[in-house]
Amino acid sequence: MEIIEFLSEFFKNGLLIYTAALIFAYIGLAIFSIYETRTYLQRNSFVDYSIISESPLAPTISVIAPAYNEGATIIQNVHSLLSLHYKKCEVIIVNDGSTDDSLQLLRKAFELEKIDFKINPQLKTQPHKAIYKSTNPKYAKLIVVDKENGGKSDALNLGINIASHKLIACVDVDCILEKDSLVRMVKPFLEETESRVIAVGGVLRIANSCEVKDGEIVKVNLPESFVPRIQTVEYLRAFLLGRMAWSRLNGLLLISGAFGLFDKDTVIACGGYDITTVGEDMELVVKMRIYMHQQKEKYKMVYIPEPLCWTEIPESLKILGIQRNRWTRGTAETLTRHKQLFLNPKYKLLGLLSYPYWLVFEWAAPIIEFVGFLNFLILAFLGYVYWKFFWGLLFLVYSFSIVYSLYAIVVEELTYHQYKNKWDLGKILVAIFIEPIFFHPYLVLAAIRGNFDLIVGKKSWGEMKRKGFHATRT
Amino acid sequence: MNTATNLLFIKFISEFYDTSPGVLKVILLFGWIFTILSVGFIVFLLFRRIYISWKRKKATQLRNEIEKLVNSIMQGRIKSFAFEGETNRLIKSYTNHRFLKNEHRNILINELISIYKTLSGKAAMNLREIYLLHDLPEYSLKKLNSWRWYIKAKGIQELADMDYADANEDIKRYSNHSKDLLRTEAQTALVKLANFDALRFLDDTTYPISEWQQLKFLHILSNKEVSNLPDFSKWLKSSNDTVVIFSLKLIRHFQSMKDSKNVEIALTHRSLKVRIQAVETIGTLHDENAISLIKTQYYRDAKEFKIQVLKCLMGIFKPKDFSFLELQLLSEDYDISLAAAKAIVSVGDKGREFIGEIFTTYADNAARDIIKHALAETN
Repeated sequence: MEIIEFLSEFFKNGLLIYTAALIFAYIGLAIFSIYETRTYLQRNSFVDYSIISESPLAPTISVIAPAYNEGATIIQNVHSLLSLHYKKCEVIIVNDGSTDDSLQLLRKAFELEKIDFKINPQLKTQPHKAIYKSTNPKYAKLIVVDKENGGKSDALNLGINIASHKLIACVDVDCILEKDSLVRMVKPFLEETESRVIAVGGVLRIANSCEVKDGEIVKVNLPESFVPRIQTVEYLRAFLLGRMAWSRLNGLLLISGAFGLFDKDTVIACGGYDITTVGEDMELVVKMRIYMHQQKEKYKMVYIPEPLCWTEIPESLKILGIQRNRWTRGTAETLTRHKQLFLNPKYKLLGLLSYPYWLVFEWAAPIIEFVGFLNFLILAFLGYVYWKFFWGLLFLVYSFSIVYSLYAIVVEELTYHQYKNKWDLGKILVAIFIEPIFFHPYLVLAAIRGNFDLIVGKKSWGEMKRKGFHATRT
Repeated sequence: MNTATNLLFIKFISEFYDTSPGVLKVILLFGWIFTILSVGFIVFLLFRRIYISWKRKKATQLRNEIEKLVNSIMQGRIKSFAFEGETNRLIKSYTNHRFLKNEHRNILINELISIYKTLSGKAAMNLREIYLLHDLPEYSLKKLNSWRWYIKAKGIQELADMDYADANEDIKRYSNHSKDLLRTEAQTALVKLANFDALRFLDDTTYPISEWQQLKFLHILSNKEVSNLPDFSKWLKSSNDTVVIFSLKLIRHFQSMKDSKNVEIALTHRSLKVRIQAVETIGTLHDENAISLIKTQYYRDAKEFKIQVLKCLMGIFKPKDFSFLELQLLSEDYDISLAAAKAIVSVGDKGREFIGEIFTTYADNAARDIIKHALAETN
């Protein structure tokens, strides 16, 4: 009995300390994020961005978009990328061995013809079959590469080998980019004089239920279905609070694979995207940071709070579970591969803060929650639960979760205020109150499953069915 | 809940709290703080939504009226902008509005500026007259007294956008300010209002000039009629590398041939970035005399410099440079090899002829592929 009492006390105190540390970390992030967002808004409140898109001094950009079986939407998506407001850019579509008619559609729509092109084999990839360019000067910016299937990372690496410009924008072909997204993303590269900017990330926003016309978001709507609506709150928290705070601290460990702008030389120097992990975006960012530390060069990775990239998120719990399972595996893989960073003063903030935060509060959080819950069940069965403490802690965690989400909504309202419909606020509030009770436990289970799959060696991405923008309200 | 239930609930909470140990009391206290904050946030969000919707309605109304006014100007229905008539009524109604005067005035100024930027000639002058006659420069100047740097910067930008040169002296005070954005905004405004003269700060500035700032300066200067170019030579000797780089860009942009010799000196500058800019400028100036100097530097310099040489001198290379270029084409470095192939092809028919000849002599597939690539790209 004494052992059980000891274990009960141990878990109780451990859980309390962990909860306190988590709340403290989140409050810290919230403070830094508001500071960073405010500074960004102040700095850019009177900027004329059209100067960049037209200037001969603007840096050149290669937009790389891998595509696999995207036949249903590929033409519209490529048109959308070609219409980005940026003069000095090229658009590289990498057809990653699609089994559908993507390539045929592209060839017909953009009047493509095979060209002689010697690829610079800087990054190892699956072989390419052919490279196409348009015979129509209207599409002079477009390059289409057809290659053997090798996965997203492999396709991106081939795109990087082909890219002829200094900056590379890696995008998911099915995302919808704001027309001036490149102009806004490139500005941090131009502004910095003290250190070298090696990557810039943009905030992802949810495209489900939004009105889309000609590859452009014409009206922003809050998702109609409940699962994406709750994820909307989650995304606002993650991007407007988390990423912005880490950007302020210059401690970002992740720039979303859906849209990021990178310094090509640095990407190549650290081996490009890793094809052996499912979390290639995080892996690349961590490798780039390590590389810059080894070079002893002052550098920066920046996040900008503007809604520049709209993405479709899972509508069903099943698909969401698969996605989060993959994210967990990706995080765990990267953290394991770079364990030398943990509390390593040589890597400064990266080793002393970013890595430990991701390890303890991102990767370990669902495990601790799950173990805590199991422990609670066992102790409840044995009659060792100190109920007052249980209710007190539950009250604390729930109230903090609500206030933190509300804070993210306040930041959103004060900055970009995307959800303007009069009922949107009510719907968001309902989602905020329900999320910790029903949605969060499901994500914890998905993360536990992800860790389990990693241990048993599962490597697949899992099927990610999308509804597609055509099916949304128009 | 009725009063009795309320009381019961409060009693339960209070007993729960009183009988809890110290740690639990702290937990509960924080829980209540978060709950109260949540309620505060919700109330704030609700009120803000109401306020924003009212504000937006007013702003739309104002914008529509300004738009109507501008249309009238364009169609020639309003010819004079003295303090009379429709214009006066409209502007006064917003500049003297009892509530949110500043807000409305800002909307008015912003609208005037955005329309002014799209106009030219008489229409632009008329619109500027509205800005001047209604004392709006005073409001912009007032912003310069704000304690917040970004309000100051906004005021400076407004004055510059409306070509209000009388504010030159007021703006000058900030041209060496320690806050980078305020400083750059003041410098940009001065360039806008006073042309090249305003760039005198480059003589002794120790602050780096960001690429963003250079881009803005060049944008402004490109849209101006320039009669006398400044003396770039002193800036080319600056110890501030960003000043040298910017000068090279200016020389390039304004095709200042008289500075060719000074640009050549920059080829041996200690900074790689400067050397690269120098090559680009030589390429744009078509300074054929610099080729031999560049070739000497070429072998000593970094890959980035080499690539720049091959790319930027495309229009200058002559058949006599073929042996140098062929040597580069055979380089093991892909980028150098491709750039050299493209440079050969760029020398017109003779270049194509030469590359055709050497193509047949190579057994090396890599070099042949590079040549095919270069030919395909330049077709």
